[in-house]
Amino acid sequence: MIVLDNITKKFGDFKAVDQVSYQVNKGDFFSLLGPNGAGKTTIIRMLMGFIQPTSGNITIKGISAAETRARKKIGYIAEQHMIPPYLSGFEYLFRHASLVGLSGRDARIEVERVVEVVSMSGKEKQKSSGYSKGMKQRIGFAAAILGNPELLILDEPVSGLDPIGIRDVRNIICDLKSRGVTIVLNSHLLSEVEKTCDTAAIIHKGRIVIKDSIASIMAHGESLEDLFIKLTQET
Amino acid sequence: MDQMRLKSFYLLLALSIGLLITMRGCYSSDYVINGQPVESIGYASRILFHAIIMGMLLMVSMISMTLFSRDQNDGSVYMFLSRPVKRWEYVLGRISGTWLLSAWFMLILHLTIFLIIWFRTNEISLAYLGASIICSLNLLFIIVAVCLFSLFIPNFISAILAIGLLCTGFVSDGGYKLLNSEMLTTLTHSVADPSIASWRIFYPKLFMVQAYADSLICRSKFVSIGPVHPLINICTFIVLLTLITLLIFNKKEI
Repeated sequence: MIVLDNITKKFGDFKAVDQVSYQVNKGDFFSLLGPNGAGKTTIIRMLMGFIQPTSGNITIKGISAAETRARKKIGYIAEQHMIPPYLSGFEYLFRHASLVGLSGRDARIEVERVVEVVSMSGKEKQKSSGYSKGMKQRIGFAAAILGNPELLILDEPVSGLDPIGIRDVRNIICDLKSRGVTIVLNSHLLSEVEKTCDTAAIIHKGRIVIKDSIASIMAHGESLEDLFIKLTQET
Repeated sequence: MDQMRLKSFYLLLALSIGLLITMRGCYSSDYVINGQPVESIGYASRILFHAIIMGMLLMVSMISMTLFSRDQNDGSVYMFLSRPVKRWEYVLGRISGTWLLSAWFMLILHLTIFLIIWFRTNEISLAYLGASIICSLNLLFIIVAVCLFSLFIPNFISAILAIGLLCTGFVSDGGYKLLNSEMLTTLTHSVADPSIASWRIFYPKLFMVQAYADSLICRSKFVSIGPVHPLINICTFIVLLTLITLLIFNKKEI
């Protein structure tokens, strides 16, 4: 589904991502872990085509990530999801629906469905300027799952959510996973990753330091948190 | 429509129309130019025609300067570009949306004057509305120029730069037109220097577009600077600036 082939991204002289390669297969739930500034969000932004790698190739379903058609059937949520303040949650989602090719009644039904999924029913008509951080994140998540995407790219999707919100998002993600949706998750919440992901890569200073299935990582007898701290502190 | 916010847009439109209606007295005033009385309705309507365009040019430069940066700040750009929307579609959508809205706004203001003239004289001057549509090209030029500049320099400076381009053109071409006007050459008994610096021929002909539109309203002969018609000049600039904006935005890191 996703292939990163020797990706490097430089900002001036600074190497944010350094020769990263990995592959995410269809139906996989892959997590990208790393401390702040490790290069996780840069990789996500390259996957979304917002920025281009300095060298290397990224393909999604065999199509270069820079091409628009690679973003068909992709759901994306950014860390600290932003919603234009003059739009209500409903208007925002309705626009997303039109951008994925839904219109009129179909768009309205789909928006109502995703609003229900993220437990925002009754609040979707409020202007987003009045939303809390968690509410914005829920609407962002609703936008990501709108139109039944085949691939979900989630950059800190539970950032700002309360424990109930985190549980809700986890349940939604698990439901999508059971329906065969490929998921790429960028998260700090190692306990969540342990519970939900199939494979994970730990990235530090722009380089992948370990990449394996969660089961194999845990087989070493260490918790993901212990391993994460060990790997990111020893280099 | 997002860029202007629906309510403030309609409020501004209503205020502008209200202002034009309260100024209806100026159509029956006595105007004297060069000691000669002039036809008051035609004269006042032409002054207002150009005043509205100038106001609109200033307004669109202020709106356009934040067209891209505000989208980035409020997340709109991610909303579009995380979906199968091409970057050129996004850029052209933003530019054309702002242009159509501002041109429509300007047309309504000109239509208000058109209706006032119609009620007062029973004369229909469709050229007045045609001239408004022609002058909307100037709005498009400013929108595209400000959008392009805002990709390199701070927003406010990009708006000031575009207004500077506009003012330079108006001083240069306006001065040329004045020096070659029948009134001035008759008064001073002098002949204007026919030679024109090449940059003035190729400079964006914003003033000349308005002068051409004005000539349509008063059905007078239009004399341009250089061999290229101002409409061709301004359209060429619009296409060029749009292409450069698209090329740069395509490579921009978001």
